[in-house]
Amino acid sequence: MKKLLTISLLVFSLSALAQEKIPVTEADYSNNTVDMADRMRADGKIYVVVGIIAILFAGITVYLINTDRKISKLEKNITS
Amino acid sequence: MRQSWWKILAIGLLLYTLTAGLLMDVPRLPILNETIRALHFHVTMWFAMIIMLSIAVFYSVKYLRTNNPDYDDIALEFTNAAILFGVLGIATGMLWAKFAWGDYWSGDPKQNASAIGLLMYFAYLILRGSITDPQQRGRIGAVYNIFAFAAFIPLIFVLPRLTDSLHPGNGGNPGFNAYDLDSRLRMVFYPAIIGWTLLGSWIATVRVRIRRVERVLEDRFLNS
Repeated sequence: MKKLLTISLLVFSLSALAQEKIPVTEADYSNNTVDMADRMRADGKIYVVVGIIAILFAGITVYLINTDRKISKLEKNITS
Repeated sequence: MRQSWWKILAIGLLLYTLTAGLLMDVPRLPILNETIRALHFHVTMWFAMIIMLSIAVFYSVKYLRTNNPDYDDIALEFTNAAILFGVLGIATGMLWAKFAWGDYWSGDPKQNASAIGLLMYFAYLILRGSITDPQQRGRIGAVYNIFAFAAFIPLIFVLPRLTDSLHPGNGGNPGFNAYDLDSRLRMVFYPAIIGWTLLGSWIATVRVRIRRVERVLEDRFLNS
């Protein structure tokens, strides 16, 4: 317990020692001089991108789940 | 599926990462523009890789202490999954660098160090592949894995910070390195790390289970 406390304190003090950085402020969120894909968001086309990525991810996940199930079956067969 | 809560958690966290990472407001910073969102995908690859490599080292030590081949499987497969994430990390990093720093490869200390680190882990796989005796393969592999990790951490965390690097850290580059990570980015960033790590662990455990089934079959074949 004491060891854990020492380690965690050390970690925190190390991050305090880290070099100074420029903080990201609220102004950076509303700084309209920087180009962003605002048009794409206004058009709602960003949802198309999100949808495509979500479908891809869902497909890969289903494949992984199926593989997982197949191995579970194999494990059951082999031990019985 | 036994004890599958963490797999569901992995899917949930990653779905959140993919949608919130693209849709949530991000700070509007020059040079980075929208590419700041790559933080949730590129940087998290390396975090997931290091967490999985730590697990591999843990099981390498366990293998050396017990000689249980199951631990060797776990160490190998977690290293394999970590290498996959590392390769994806390098590839995504190169694409991001092309637009943020102007070149796919600018010889940045951290780029070079992570490439060296990956090569060390490729050598781990080659070393294992070159030894036919499973006991010897396990022992030498485990020892190499521990040493590779001990070299990898200073390579990517310490050495790049001692010199000027384009990556976040020291140096006078305006791209990204001077900015602090703010709390709204962290709201996606941390769940993303956990999600990717869990996904990698899932892939690793699936392959560990394949190896276990193979070993049972092999033993049965030898005993029959």
